Amino acid sequence: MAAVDADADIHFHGVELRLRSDEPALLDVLRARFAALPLRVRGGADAVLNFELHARDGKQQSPAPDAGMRSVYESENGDAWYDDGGDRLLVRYTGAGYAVCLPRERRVLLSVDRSATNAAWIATRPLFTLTLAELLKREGMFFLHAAGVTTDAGGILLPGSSGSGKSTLAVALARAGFGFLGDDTVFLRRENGDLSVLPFPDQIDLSETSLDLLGPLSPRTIRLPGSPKWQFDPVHAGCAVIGEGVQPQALIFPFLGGTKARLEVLSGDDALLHLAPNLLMTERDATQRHLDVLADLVAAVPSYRLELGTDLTAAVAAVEQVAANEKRQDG
Amino acid sequence: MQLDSSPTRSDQVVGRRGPDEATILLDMASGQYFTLDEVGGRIWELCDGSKTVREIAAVLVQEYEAAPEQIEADLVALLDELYSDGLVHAAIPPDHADQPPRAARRRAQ
Repeated sequence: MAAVDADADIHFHGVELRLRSDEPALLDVLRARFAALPLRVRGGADAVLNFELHARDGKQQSPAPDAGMRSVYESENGDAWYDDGGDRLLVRYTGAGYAVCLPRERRVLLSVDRSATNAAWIATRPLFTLTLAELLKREGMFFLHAAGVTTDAGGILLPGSSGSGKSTLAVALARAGFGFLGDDTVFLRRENGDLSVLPFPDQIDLSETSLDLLGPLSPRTIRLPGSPKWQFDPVHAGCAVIGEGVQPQALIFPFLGGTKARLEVLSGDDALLHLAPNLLMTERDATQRHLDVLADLVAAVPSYRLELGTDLTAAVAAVEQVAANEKRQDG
Repeated sequence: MQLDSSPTRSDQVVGRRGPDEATILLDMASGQYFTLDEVGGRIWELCDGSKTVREIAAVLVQEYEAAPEQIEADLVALLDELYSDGLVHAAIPPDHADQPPRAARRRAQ
């Protein structure tokens, strides 16, 4: 086994992420994901979550799931398995890497094939993000696949799967003056009885289609090999990054399509059904708490569906209208 | 499901009532989602193992305006579905322990 010879500590909403790797380049990519968050004074973290990232030579033989494991996630590129008895999550990216997440030990062991062209992307995106979400779930911080922007009245969340247009809309809103919480992921946490949206102003991932819609942005910074999209630093892209938690104000589910922007009210029940795929069905009690938080969110704020159309200006105006209405009602 | 069985929610299922009327259930064993309407959600809440099907029916008769026979028939039909999907278990009273529940009998035919 190669020595783990580089490390990085990242503070993330009261939790310390202690990252160690035998491949410093992986840590550089991860640091870049958190670079837009304000720096925190070291120490005082509620919990320390440990990640060991290994880059190894040769195709990775991912461990086979044990007999007692059940499938909790499946995609064309990989899968995830969970062992109820051992409280262990195994995430596999076909042929190129895997991660073992041990929530009771607050620890993740991650391994990728350094010769795979997309090794850095696999390690720092799907494998890292999925296991980070599982560890944070146990700390009461619940994953939501959503972009987020803010007004002075709170956070407007834009949930959706990859390709729904949430990053495109979030960047358009940020350029129109909204604060920026993130383009892909936020976390929800109960704070003194209220729900708080915790930003994750990660690097922004934009496809060529999004760039065509948005027009000139900042100089293209990175395209990690194997990544389907371009990565932009949100600060360099002109976004006013919000570092602290905010109260949720509205949920708007964006959908790419149509020619004119069209906003429709969505029932709370429908919104909850749309959010259910955010749940990774691992440890029962933590999963129940995750579902409870999502249900509390849709009960607390109004939900809408927004077909983006081809004119982002109109889509931005629709969100501005929602923000103004909610602010009036709050006032 | 027999009227004197006591249905209990599976501990493999997490569930939550939505803000309007639907209840969403997630079966951790199969990874499947289910939704129940308002009455179904109420039945789900009542499946805590402390009440028989007959007692659950009596609660529903108090809460909903429908003929008791209809409520009982709908209740048994829903519980049979929940049972066959593995979402509830049914404790069978000792004097009926040699008889499989109705849903199991149906599958065996």
